[in-house]
Amino acid sequence: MENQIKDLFPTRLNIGKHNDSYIEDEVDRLVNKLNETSEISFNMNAKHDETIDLFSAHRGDLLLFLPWLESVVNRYIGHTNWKFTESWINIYPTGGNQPPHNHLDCQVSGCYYHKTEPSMGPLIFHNPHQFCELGLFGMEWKTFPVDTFPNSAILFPHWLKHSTEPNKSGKPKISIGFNITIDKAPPGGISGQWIGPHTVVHDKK
Amino acid sequence: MDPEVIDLFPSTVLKFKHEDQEIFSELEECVKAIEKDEQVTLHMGVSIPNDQSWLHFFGNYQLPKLNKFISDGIDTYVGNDGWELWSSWLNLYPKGANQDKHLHAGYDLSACYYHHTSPQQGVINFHSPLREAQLDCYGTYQQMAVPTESGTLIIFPSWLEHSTTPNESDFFKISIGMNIKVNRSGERPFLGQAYGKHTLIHKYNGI
Repeated sequence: MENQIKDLFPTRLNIGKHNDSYIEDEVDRLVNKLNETSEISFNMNAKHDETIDLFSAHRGDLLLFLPWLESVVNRYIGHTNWKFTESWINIYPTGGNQPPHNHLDCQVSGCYYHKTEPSMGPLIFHNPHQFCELGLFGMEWKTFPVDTFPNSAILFPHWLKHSTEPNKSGKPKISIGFNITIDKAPPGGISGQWIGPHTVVHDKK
Repeated sequence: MDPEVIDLFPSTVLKFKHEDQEIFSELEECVKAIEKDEQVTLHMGVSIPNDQSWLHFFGNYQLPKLNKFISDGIDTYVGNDGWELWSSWLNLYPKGANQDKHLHAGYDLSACYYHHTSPQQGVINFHSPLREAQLDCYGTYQQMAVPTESGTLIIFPSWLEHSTTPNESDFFKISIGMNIKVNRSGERPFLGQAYGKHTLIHKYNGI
């Protein structure tokens, strides 16, 4: 008996990893630089500018990191017609975490993990199915934790809710978050017969 | 370096196929017997009894080889869980007929076995259970088509909406629909600290 499994409608994540100590050092230097220049402070009272754009402001500090991250994004999206619209550094002091949330005004979101340890906790994705809370057969997974290994970037659709568990280590957990917009034409268009550029006739199908 | 790909929260559909002529013959003779003995007119005006007795196709007709093929498929899908076939019925689609989007409420799994079918008789479309798909959000698909070949059994969660495209051939498209309840095995404990047999303490879990 021939058997095929079709896992329909999955929500796809990509995880890109590098083993380049130069990239690691580069991110390390940027974090230290920002801390020393008081652009960020390792407490929860820091303010940010209206424009959250770490990558543009510090492109010169990330000469190895950014090309690597761009290649990871290219693999996920499948082309190069996209741009980072927001990017920022996350610091989770001991006990720090994030409740479930998603990211707006973009198509893809991601997070790069710098010098993380298992005790700093996984990134938890929440099942987007509308009937998930009903515990139906075949829908038992309400959440799925993904380990956050050092030197790795996790990419996911912006609408997918995610959260983090409290950082249980004695060190701050440091990551770089980013949002991406993709330049593409709206799919499908409006089907019907057009009269001029502003009127569409919806005939019987 | 290739990225690691993780496909989260899929809707699992299993498709099984046989090429056993004895199974085809078994159902062929059954359909002929239904036409002859029950005087089913094979048109859309047939009246349906409202006592649900017509939903026990496998209870009313003996099809041991087809039954085994289907049972083996359901066994594979449910794994260690038990299951019970709650309803089964014969579908006949005349030329031009199809089914609109629907799901099978009240059951865990549903299935459809396709008898002799041709590509002109259409496909089964599964519709995304994600609301984000209706908005065409990034990384979503609104529907995915699965071809319905001769001798195939398709098993899917009952909550997964599906539809069929019209039968464009001159012959009846014949299939058997089924609804299944799964008896889930294994422990599924509550989250929290049990205190005695009837009390559960829900601690703050940090999220």
